[in-house]
Amino acid sequence: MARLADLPEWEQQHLLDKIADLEGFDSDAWVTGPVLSERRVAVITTSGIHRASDPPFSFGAASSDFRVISGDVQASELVMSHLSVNFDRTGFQQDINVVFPIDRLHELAATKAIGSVAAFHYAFMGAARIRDLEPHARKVAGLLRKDKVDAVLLTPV
Amino acid sequence: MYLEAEGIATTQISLVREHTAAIRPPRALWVPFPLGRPLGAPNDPAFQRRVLMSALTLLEAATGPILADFPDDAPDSQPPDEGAWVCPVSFPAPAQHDPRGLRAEIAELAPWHELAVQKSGRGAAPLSGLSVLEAADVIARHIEEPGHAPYRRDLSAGLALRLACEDLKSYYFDALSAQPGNPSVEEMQQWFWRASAAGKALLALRDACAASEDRSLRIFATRNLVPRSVSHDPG
Repeated sequence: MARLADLPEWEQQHLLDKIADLEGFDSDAWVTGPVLSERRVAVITTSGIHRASDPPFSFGAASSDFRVISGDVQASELVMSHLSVNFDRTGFQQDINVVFPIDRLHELAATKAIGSVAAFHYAFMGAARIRDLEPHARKVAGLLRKDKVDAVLLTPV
Repeated sequence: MYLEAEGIATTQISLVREHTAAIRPPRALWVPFPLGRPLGAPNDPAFQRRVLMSALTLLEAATGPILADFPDDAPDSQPPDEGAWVCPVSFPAPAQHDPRGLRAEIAELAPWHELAVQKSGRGAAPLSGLSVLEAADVIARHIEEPGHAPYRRDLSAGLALRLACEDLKSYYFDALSAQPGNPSVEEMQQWFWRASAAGKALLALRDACAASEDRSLRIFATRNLVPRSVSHDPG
């Protein structure tokens, strides 16, 4: 993001006020694995994207569930129903890779920079309360293991 | 963090450095890009690849947590050199919501929207299932009568209306981004919210629905319709 100091004071304060909800996650979990060129990579995005035929992200409890995105999804199938109106959507409309870098990952796999691209990826909606995401994240972990994923790229919006 | 606890290694892109520093995830790459563009710039595969590899190579670090900084701004984040961009739509800025002006504006932007669709290779995939003119009509009806029955029975009134508004905005921003002059995100936002009939319609919709008896409409109107940057600076 533009550096915090470059933003108007009210926007700085809005972002700083959120920090209180983000503390207390201290964890020393640290998973090692093979070299990058042998890793199978999945993307988990909090951009609220999904196929047009999926239910849109909504308020309340429904804000913290997730959508599955097949690795062979077509750009024309993806839409964004994130609740927030405070970020740019024009980049995504022009090129989904600016949010969900699926084409770039396939290129990296083709050049052996990574081992492979997961068959499935996952989308959450970042306006959800972070602690409400835990049961869903643990469910996704089980799905990732079945897909033999050993590296996840988390992307915000 | 939950995933790492489940035994799956993670790396991430961070847009708000202060938030990531508070959470302390195992591996993160902070990027100085606008919110909404974590890979930096659309249609710039080389730059996106650099960002992606910078985040992925953190997986090979021996110890953590790591919060690394990407060194470069996004390539199109500099202001244009040749004066302010002006939207080449010929209508004067309406003083207030004007349903006929909105329909005329949509018609005038149609060729630009077509160009945008051709350029991106993406078909218009509306969230609402409505055409843009139908979405505009739904918005106009809710301005006149905020308790108007939703056009979809499977969604709350607030969600249904939000999707129609998102589709209207997508249509406009697709069209604007196809116009000459390579308008910046800020310039498009300024024109949409300050000078367009569509922006006036959404501001009128916020005012009309803010006192609605329907809770989903109130929440949508007051929290998820108008960006903070517009609310804080009505212009």
